[in-house]
Amino acid sequence: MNKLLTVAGFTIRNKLKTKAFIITTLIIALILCIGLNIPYIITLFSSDEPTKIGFLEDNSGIAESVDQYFQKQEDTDVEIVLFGDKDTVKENEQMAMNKLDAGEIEGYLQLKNEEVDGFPVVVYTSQTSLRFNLQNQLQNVFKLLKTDIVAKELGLSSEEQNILLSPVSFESVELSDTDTAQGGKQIEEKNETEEALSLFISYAVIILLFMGIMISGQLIATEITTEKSSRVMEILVTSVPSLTQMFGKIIGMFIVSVSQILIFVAVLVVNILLPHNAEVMQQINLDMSNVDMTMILPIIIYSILLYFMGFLLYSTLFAAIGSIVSRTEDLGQAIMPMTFISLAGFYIAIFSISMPDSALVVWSSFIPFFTPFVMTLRIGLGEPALWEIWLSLGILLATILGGGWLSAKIYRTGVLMYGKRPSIKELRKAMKAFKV
Amino acid sequence: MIVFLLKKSRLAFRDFVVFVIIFHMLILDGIRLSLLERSFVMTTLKLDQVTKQFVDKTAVDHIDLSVSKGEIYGLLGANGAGKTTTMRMVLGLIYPDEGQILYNGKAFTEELTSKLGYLPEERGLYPKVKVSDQLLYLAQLRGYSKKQADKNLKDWLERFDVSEYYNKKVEELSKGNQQKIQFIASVIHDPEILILDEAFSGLDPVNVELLKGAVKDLRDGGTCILFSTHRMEHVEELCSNISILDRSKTVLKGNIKKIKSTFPRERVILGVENEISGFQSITGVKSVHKKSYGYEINISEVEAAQDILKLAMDQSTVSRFEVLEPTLNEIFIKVVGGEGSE
Repeated sequence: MNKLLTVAGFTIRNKLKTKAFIITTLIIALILCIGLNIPYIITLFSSDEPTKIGFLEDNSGIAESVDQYFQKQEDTDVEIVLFGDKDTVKENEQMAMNKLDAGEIEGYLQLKNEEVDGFPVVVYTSQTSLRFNLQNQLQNVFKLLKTDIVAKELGLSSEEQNILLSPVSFESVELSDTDTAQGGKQIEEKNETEEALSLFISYAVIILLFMGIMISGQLIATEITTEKSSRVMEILVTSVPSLTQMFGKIIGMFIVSVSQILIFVAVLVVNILLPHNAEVMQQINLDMSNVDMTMILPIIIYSILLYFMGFLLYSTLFAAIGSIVSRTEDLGQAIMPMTFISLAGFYIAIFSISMPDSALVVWSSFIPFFTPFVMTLRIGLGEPALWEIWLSLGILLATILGGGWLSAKIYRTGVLMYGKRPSIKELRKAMKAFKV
Repeated sequence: MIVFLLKKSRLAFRDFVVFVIIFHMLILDGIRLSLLERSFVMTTLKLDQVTKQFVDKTAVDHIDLSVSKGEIYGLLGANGAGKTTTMRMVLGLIYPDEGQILYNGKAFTEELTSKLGYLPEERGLYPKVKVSDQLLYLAQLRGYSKKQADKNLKDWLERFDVSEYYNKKVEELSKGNQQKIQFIASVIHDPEILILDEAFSGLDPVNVELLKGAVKDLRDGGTCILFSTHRMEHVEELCSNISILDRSKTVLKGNIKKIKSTFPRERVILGVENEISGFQSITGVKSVHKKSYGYEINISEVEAAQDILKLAMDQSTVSRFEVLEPTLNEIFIKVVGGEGSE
């Protein structure tokens, strides 16, 4: 136990001291800071100046209606500037062009004399191409106006018109089973914030797990190979049982990786709590007071559990691979299969985020190498039964124990084998010879 | 004291008499006592018929050896003779298929690692870690207290005159200095049993002397040292007992002096003033080499030496005459190099 802590402590200290670790952590924290403040930064730059669009008036009254519509709208960045009619088309265009050149307006609208389906053709003229959402907004307005006009022509009352226009009411409800253990199936609903939060947590855990596995796994393998190639391994294996050595290293790396994540979480929380960001958060409807912790807590607990188990499973295997390679140059090739397996798990989870109950997800959540990724997704967003969760956790645990046992054996043998990477057959022979 | 012993062990009077007689014998025969001590009482490391079979070959074949406290035991052999495997078994890394290894009379346990020190042939330390950090780490892994290890480290650095390397990274040191650090790594935790594999390779003569002194001091301090090298002059200087391995078997084993005396003296050094002719006519003379001082003559039987001397005295003044005992180097080559010339 003592030696385990010594190994873990040494691993942690050396890792925390490396420049690469410090710099990566700082860079990611910085990117997080910037990313989280981008919505606020955007509001800083955009909301002040509305887009001004000119409108050449004619006697139809459409221009005035459009102007009134935009004035009533609160969260729009479009402002209509009405230009009086200057009798001739040419003069009108000349004036509008002048304003466009002077930069007073972004573009101008003009109604053509020809009509399609009882509404004049609208022409938008500008120097830059029409922004997509601007076009949408303008089209919507004209559509409304047209409906209005047509309805009036058909003699519909405003009530009739409302019935025609009112949208179909559509609600989305997500069910999740909790407390099935207490007998009666109690069904609770997640509200919108909780849904968003569980989406966020699932996403975050899957990405963090993938990063953690890839980075820490590779680091563990690299360190072991380095110890082997620098031959310090010869002394290590004679001082400490190799199992202690391997798990000391894994625990050390786990602590490093988790503390890195905690730093990122702290950066995240601090940034969200900053006063200027609170407003932004409210705008996108994320009100934390709205969240029922009993809904979110199981997700967090399972996520942590799955993270830990996933880390353990992958890192023991990475350690085993690191131990059979003698030179760091050969390591990349040797860990390729592991990289692919973790990539597969990661992509299954990420691409299924919108369909967390598909057959692929359900089945792959029972494959231990994918469980950490896919089960996180299912628990967060899908609705797995409790037995499903525990079954997959059980399979995962069994695999960890089996994999850990095998890895320890490989490690014990591998660290003493130098030269070219041994084949499985050679490894088995060596295991027999070394009596491990 | 005898009365006390008597009481304590409840010996009958007859036994007491026998005891007194033996006691006196022992006192009178001091050499015998020391022999007893050496071969039975104080043996720290004992390999008994140790055999290790790898899949397609036998790496170590029924090897016996025992090392006492305060002894340096030379383990010699050509490359691939089984030295490293033997050492790895002593270190508990791999287990013998047959036979047993005893440490102070007991079998290997995990706790023993704190008493073992190892200087591997393939040197290795963490290149990017500070000397103090990694040596204290290695000492702690052996279950040694950090504080005491730090003190030992400083003492050793001072002894080797490299105190300034305490805070340096290993990769910044020269190869010779890395060797010193490596050596310290193997002894920082005061091991009882020290295994040195090619301890002095890659060092300049000054540093060889420095490390040799350290090894001798450890021996005098009671450390039991298993020493492997290809440099026979180091063995002759440091070791009293040796084993020579060849293709996994022990081909020669025992006290160096005794081994040497069993090998015939085959070299005659003759210092003369004039040229001498007629060596070839003496039976037993194999070859004659002219040297600046006179002649070096290889003979196949010791009697020839006297004939050579007679011949030389007839023809010239003899300033020097010596029948050399074989060097360990010669014995090694004879035993290992010559096929089946055991």
